[in-house]
Amino acid sequence: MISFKRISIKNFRAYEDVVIDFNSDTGIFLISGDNNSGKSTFLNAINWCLYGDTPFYTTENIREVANNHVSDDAIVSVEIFADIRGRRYRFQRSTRRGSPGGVLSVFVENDGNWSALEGVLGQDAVRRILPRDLRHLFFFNGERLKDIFSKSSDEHNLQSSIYKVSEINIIDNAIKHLGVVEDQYLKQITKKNKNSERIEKLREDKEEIESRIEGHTNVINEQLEDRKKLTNKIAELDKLIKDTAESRYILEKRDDLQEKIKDLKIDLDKLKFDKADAFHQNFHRLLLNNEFQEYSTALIDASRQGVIPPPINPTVTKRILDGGVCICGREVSEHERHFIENQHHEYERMQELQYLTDGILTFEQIKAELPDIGYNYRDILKDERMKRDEKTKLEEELKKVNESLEGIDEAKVHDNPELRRTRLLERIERINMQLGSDGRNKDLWLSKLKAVNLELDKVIQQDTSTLRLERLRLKAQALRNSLHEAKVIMENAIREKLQKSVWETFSSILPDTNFVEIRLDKDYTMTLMATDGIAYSTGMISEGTTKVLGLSLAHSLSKDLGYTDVPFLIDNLYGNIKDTHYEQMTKMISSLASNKQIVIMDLNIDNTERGFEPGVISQKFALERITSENKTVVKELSYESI
Amino acid sequence: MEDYLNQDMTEALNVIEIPEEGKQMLNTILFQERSHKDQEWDDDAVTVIVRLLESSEDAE
Repeated sequence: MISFKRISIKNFRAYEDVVIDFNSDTGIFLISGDNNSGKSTFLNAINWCLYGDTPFYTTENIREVANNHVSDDAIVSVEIFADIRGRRYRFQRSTRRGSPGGVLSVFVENDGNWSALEGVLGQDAVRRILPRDLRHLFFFNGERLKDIFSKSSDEHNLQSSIYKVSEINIIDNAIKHLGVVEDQYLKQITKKNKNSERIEKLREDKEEIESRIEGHTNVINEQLEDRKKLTNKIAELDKLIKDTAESRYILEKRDDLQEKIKDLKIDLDKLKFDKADAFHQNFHRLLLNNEFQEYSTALIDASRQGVIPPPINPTVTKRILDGGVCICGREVSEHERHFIENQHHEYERMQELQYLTDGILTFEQIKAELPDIGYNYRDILKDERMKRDEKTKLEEELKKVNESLEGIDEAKVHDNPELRRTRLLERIERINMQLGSDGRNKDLWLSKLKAVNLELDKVIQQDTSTLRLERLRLKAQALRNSLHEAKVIMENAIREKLQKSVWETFSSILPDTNFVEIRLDKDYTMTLMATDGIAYSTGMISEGTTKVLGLSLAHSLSKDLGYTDVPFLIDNLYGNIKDTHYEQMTKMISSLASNKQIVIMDLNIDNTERGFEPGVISQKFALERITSENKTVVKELSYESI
Repeated sequence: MEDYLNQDMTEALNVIEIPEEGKQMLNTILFQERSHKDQEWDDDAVTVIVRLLESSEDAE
């Protein structure tokens, strides 16, 4: 049981100082008065004390809670004493002008002493009376019930209320949180998939790098092999060079000898002509100088040597033959004469040969050259002899060299291994340069491979089991789907129960109604089905019927959802209610009041007409208790000070 | 209101076709949600659900 025991209001809006005692835990309490007499302010005072706001003013933006007639320093306070399931609590909110929120203090009575409940404990005590988000179903203004049925009101619409009362919002929260969990797993899976893509890419990179490294390695190995082969060839060439050195020396010597012999032959051939010239010139000189004795000797020498003596100038020989004397004046001997005569004839014979006609010196020419002519003949002979001797000597030497060359592969010796060796060394140098380049490239790719391997290890390490994450995600999804299903089942059950319950209450208040059924649709709009089959939305029914419907709904919700003992505070309940419905309404309220306090704020009313038996009703303000048993209104408090 | 879950919720959970393990998990989740309905609970709720799911997964 939850009941108000006392409400004390000081300097709050229209009130200066009023204390209202509730002398029973159940029953109807009527606060009646004219318009602007403070009825709604009473409802707001209770709300302000418990929840810190004043939602029941019809005029928006009324936030100031201080009485207009008190000083700015005056304390504004509302104090509620309430019994909550066997324990007494004191809720006190106080403030000053300009601070409409105020500060709430909550106390609980222990053995006659009040203990403060700080922070969450105080808020928890408020929730024990009624959670803030349900208050509009228990503390409400009858003229604003349409707010409950309106979907536009986020806080106070029916769906929101039912969700809160029935705790469907708890399922919604669980669905939301499972959705977040699902998203988290999905993100991890997505990240993992990104890791997979990254791993795949890194593996491709690694493959590419390894392929390049393999390529470089193969090239390097080939180059090393080539270099090895070339080195071996060089070694072979070195051996060949060493082995053929002597042969090549001999060959070179032979070639040298042959060359020298050849030169000597040329010289000797040349000397032949020189000698012949000199020989002829010598003859001419001898003849011209009448040195016939020497001439004869020379002829004999020439004959011995097989040299043809030169033809004698026919002019000279003819003069010698004609005169019998030499050109030098000496008398020619018979022998000489005979010789010259033969020579002359010979000349004449030879003269017939054309080739001899040229080159014959004229006498004048011979005379002109006389001083030098013929004198180098001996030198030529000497030279010729020397060359001939040298030639003979060289030929003998060549013969020996040729003998020593027998068995030597001359072609092989002439293969020029040094050149080949040089070229091989050049090739090795080129290979070494290429090896350096390829080695550097290989090192570069090896360092890249190392980096890729490190990255791969890192990414793979970050990778968790996708399957596990996917299972977890699917589990979260399955739970979420199950909660959706449970929510639908729960909502259907609640709607069915609620519409039945509301209809029972509604039809008991309005037994003669033309409606036959109340439907609570999936979107939580209420529809009233009339006897003629027409469906009426809540916006189409009268204010009075709306009030009955609202009261029925509040009753049903409190009954079905475990809030049966929470008081109702209802402002403007009876306005615009058809007279014929007052009695049923009062019956209904009386019935509810057997288990809880119901505080009704309304205009001064003729209670007789409305089913109550009124007592003294103040023109200004009165709190009366209406006994449900005998339907009499018993005045409990009268307040006329405002 | 002191029950583990409210009656309508319990009945709805009993109706849905779900393995017993899942049902127990839902009961636990809803109980935790209900226990913390008046508090800032979103982050902790996610942590609780993740732990619940992963301990269930590890137990298999």
